[in-house]
Amino acid sequence: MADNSNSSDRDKAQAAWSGNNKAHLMTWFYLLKFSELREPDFDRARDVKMSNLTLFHPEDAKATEREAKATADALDTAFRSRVKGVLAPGFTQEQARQNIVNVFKDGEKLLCELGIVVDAAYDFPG
Amino acid sequence: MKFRRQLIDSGAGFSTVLLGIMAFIVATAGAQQTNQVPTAPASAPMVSLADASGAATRLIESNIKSNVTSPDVLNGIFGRLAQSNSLPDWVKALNIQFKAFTSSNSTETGLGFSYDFTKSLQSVPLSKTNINPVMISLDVFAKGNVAFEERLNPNDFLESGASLHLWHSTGAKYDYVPQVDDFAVAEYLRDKHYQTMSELEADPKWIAFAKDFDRQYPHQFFWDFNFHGKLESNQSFSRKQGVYGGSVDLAFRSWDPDSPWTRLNLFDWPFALTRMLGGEGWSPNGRFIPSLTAGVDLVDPYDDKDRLAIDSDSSPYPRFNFEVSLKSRVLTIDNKDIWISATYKIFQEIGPSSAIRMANFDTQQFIAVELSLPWNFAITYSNGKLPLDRKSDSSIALGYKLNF
Repeated sequence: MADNSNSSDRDKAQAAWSGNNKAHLMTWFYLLKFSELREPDFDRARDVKMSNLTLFHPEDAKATEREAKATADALDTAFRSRVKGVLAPGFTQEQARQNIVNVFKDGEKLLCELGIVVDAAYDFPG
Repeated sequence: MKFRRQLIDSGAGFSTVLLGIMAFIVATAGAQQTNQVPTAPASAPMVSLADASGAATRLIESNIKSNVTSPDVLNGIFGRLAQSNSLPDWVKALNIQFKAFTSSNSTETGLGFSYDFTKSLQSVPLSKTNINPVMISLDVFAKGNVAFEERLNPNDFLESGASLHLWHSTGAKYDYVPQVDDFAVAEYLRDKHYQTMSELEADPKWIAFAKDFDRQYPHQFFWDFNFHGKLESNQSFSRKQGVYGGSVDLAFRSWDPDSPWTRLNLFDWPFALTRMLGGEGWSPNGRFIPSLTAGVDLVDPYDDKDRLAIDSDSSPYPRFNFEVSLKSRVLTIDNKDIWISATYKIFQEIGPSSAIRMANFDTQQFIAVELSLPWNFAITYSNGKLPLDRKSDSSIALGYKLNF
């Protein structure tokens, strides 16, 4: 798969990656718990590619899609049940899930770009 | 952009390496890396959607074929267009990626693209009072792989259609009150800057969080029923067939390391052993339980010329399909992971005619295994054929990926 990430979007996502952003922080944290991600340093995790997540099957897009849906659901469950996250205004559960799935499926996207999508779709208290 | 190049293959060898180096030079000289393309996908029912995606394919092809040679240039141009705020959101859902293709049985390289459009037209919970309702959604989709020289397309398969999904995840106890402040633990671990997963997993605060998390969410069972109608074709639409049916995607993950699901995950035992030989404890992982898809389709081979040449009966026939895939971590050496991923697919016609059976057109099986090594190297084995393929291919390759 070719890189489909616009460099300016990627630059913005990398610049925005912050441990003070709860969406970014909890995305990293729960992906660690789900054994999707194996980068224990939050700062370095910024540039982890989706192709390095457990859900990504390099030779099978269909399998990646199936795993991506399940992992997006698991993230949604963790956000809502563990830290009282709510969907941002204008988002439905399916839209939030599909946006996350679309990032998961693109092996060249970075974790910070996933963080941007999660931050847009969920509001966290505090 | 990602190039895959085979370093060692029965048919390639040194010339392929040279091609890889040339591709590197061309790609490095290319422009930006980018994103989506605002090509108009269709919004009408299934067949017109397919026709429209085919027309869009041909339009893009004719417009750019003669002018550009680098996927990077194209991705740059179309990525900027995709940033336009004036484009409707559902058009932006079209994800198009330009690629350089190399055929498995030649050393020629050609330009092409893949497209993947999935859009939820409507999504509603079946119950508005349940915190974790079963969801129902109506999607349209179009995806495929197109090479400007069709013979160079290693995956000449397009599908376009619509699907109705009914999906749900279970396993979490929504009435459970967490005994650990996940935000606080995450902030604490953020500031620790651990270098290895074993350091993090030994931290008492992580252990306390993980235990509490597992009490609330010990496992996940995900299912997604879908009913679909789609058109399958090659990129020139010289062979095509309608497919209508239903399938279910299933995934089960056990987050709790002490649960029987985790400990008895036999699929991960061989790799738990290799991890143990690498110095870790015996720890089968409940995340590495295989996921699967099973379904039954009615296939209308109205324009599958190869099949009709064998059996002139063009009436629809039922086809069972099953796919299973797994991925496990084999070993970690010097903080670098080695992974294995495997997929097996079978498409079996139900009650085929003797002519179809004799021609071996009734069953397609495909298996692919990849061992992902550090520094972007991979060993890949594949064997079999997919629907619309008439011959089985087998290959084993040591490859690498260059990411720009």
